[in-house]
Amino acid sequence: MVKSLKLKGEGVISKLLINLMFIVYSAMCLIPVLLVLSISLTNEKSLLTDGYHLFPKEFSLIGYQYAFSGTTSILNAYKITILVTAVGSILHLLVTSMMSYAISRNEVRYRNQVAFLVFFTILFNGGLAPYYILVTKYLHLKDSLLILIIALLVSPVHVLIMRNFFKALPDSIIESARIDGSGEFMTYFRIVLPLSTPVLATIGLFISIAYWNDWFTSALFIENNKLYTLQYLLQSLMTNIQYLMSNEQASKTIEKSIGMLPGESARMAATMLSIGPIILMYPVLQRYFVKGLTLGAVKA
Amino acid sequence: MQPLKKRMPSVIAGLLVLSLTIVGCGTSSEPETSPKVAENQTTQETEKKTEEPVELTFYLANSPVKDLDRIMEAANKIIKEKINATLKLVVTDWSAYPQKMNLMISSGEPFDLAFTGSWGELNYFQNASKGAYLDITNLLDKYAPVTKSRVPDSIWQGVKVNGKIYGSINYQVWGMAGAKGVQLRKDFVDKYNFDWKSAKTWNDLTPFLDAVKKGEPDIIPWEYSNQADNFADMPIIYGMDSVGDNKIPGWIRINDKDIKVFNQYETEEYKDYLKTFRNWYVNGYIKKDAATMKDYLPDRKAKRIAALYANPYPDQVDMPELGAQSFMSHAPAEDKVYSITKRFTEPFIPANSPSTALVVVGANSKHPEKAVELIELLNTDDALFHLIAFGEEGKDYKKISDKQIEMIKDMYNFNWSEWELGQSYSRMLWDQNTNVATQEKSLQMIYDADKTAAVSPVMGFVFNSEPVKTQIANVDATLKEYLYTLDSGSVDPDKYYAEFIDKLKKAGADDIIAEKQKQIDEWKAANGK
Repeated sequence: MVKSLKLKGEGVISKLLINLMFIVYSAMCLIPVLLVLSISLTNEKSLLTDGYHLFPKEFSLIGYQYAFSGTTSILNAYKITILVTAVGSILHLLVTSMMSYAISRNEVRYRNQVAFLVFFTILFNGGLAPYYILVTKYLHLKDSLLILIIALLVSPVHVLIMRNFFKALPDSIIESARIDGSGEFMTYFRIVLPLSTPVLATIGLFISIAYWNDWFTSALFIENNKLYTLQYLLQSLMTNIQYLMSNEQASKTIEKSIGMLPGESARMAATMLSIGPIILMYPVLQRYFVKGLTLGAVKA
Repeated sequence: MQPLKKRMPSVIAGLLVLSLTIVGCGTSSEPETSPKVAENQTTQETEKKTEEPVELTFYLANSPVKDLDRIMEAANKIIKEKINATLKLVVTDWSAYPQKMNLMISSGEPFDLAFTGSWGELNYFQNASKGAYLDITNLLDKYAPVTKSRVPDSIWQGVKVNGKIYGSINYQVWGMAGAKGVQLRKDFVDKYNFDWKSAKTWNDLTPFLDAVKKGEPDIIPWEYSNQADNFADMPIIYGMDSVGDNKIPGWIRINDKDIKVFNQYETEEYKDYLKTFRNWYVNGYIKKDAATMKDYLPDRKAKRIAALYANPYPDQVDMPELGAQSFMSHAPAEDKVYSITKRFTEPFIPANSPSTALVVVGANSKHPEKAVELIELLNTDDALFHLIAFGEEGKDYKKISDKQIEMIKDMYNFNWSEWELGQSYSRMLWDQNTNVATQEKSLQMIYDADKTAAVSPVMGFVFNSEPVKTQIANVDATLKEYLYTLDSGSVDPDKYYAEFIDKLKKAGADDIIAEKQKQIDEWKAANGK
């Protein structure tokens, strides 16, 4: 900012404008998060009487106390979520990149047919019931950690992005590796992957967030409360209230059940806890973004 | 970088080993079931008196429950001793439960017992007619006589599909007979000398709401919420009952022996209702954003509501002593915000009331007899029922008296969902804020009313919406567009009412009504009514 002011007259105004625009935009992104943080640190009663404020009117940690003492242990859910995210993301990168590399090489026969099969699944899928039947009846993966990982193991969109990236790598590098006596795996691990850090980082970010936020798989297949993921717990906190409220007249007792559910500040505390670690992924991987996402465009 | 590159293969290998161990862990927890058993073979397997107790699964919806394992261990001691079985309680959160159950049913996955109902996508009637549940008509007589006898016969009619019972009724502590009416904040009623005893219609409340509006700047006189629409969700107030889903056009009058189906949105009652509510809205008795407001809890918790709908039976005319213990819905207990309840209707059992809470046996259950025995055990063994509903005495709750307990904070908590487990009828333990004597007396009134209350003329009729699926979807869209804005008084009915009716007709409301009529006529003929 200060440096730019020293520039010639015309540039200053446009630079100021651009900076201002981004300052406003960043504020628009940050304020909701701050509001949630503030709600989570506010006393429930004060929320009801004074409404929401960016700074807690009556500071209280009750929300977090509820989240930690709550119904199932949040710490355990953290463990499960972190394990699934870490193992799942690495396996996803490995499997997806191997597949993309294979269908990006010209010497692989039928590569286009295989690619078509992969992309076909973007447009058409069997639907929820067949998916459920496949997992429970044929794979017997109900109630296992493995299903949480396998559910997101390959994403056709990611395959597409990676394939285009690999296609852009100069063939001559791979050929010279081959002449030097490197095998296919050696070439792939030693040459191709190190050259592809941008795309790996980008997809890595996408998929780790997808794993982190995946509650639906848990809702369908997990029955053992020791395997609950963080997002599933959070989801049930949030949506139970909605569901029960919309059916309150179904039963007099539902009114009582609603009264048992946590208040606003407890829900927001759970929200804050759930975005915690994953938010750190962004600053670490952000610099790879621009490079990784150019889908096969010419790069300087 | 160099050493890392060299180590790459070993890192990969390590990952593979790790994933293999996870695979190992994952599959080892799988129960040893042989999915090859054909469906018709299951019932032929005679119950051998083996040493091995049978494991029964019971699916129900609840918010996450803490310490469930400890409680289930204690519960299984009782169950094993009594019926030589163990119970595996599977708790799914409310929002995912209906979808999960419907998936399990369509995939034919076996389950022994499950909680269901006829509301909130639980689809008891549809699933029962699809053959998802076991017909337990005879099993109930044989293995669960007490369960069967607690519920009046007229109410069993309400869960029959094609003349057979598919679900055991969880006869709830609140009974079946209900009445609709209002809940008014006592301090305002006293302050403005409102004659609440003679209130019989919405219109009678207008002077009270007006006084509150003028005298209490921070208070919302009337709570309208689209979660409980004051017209579409409360047919009984207008002397009507719904056929199938509440909001879909096609209601009947409860005193109509011929059972004529009509469009409730074209009745005089609806036009009067719109006038009243438009008037309330214009005068500011209803919140400006009432039509779109989904979450009513904040206002209730903040004690901002002066009056709202209620299901009060008995009300304070029936039982004046209730006044000492009825509070406004969801107002903080410690603030003791007293309410006055007044019902507008006589006790009545709507057609969808018996199917509010049911326990069903899965069609593919391998041990249907044991499952029904377990239903009976849950309904008759109070120690077991209290254990699962409230936890262990001394550890999770303290006994105050015979029927009153105090929950211990941060311990096991079933979130007051005991009504999904079994019949809580006269078996409840009340929390410390309840006056047990009054409560028992009012419940006795309800149970007596259950035997004598008027029953909906369409009790036992199940509407099959399949032939008019498209029309229902279209009508649904129209309702979403108009209903809440009209019913909350947000828009002028003179302008929009005709348009609303016209759109409903275009969407196919008349087809739906004709279809309902046709099915009811067939049902009447078949049942000799």
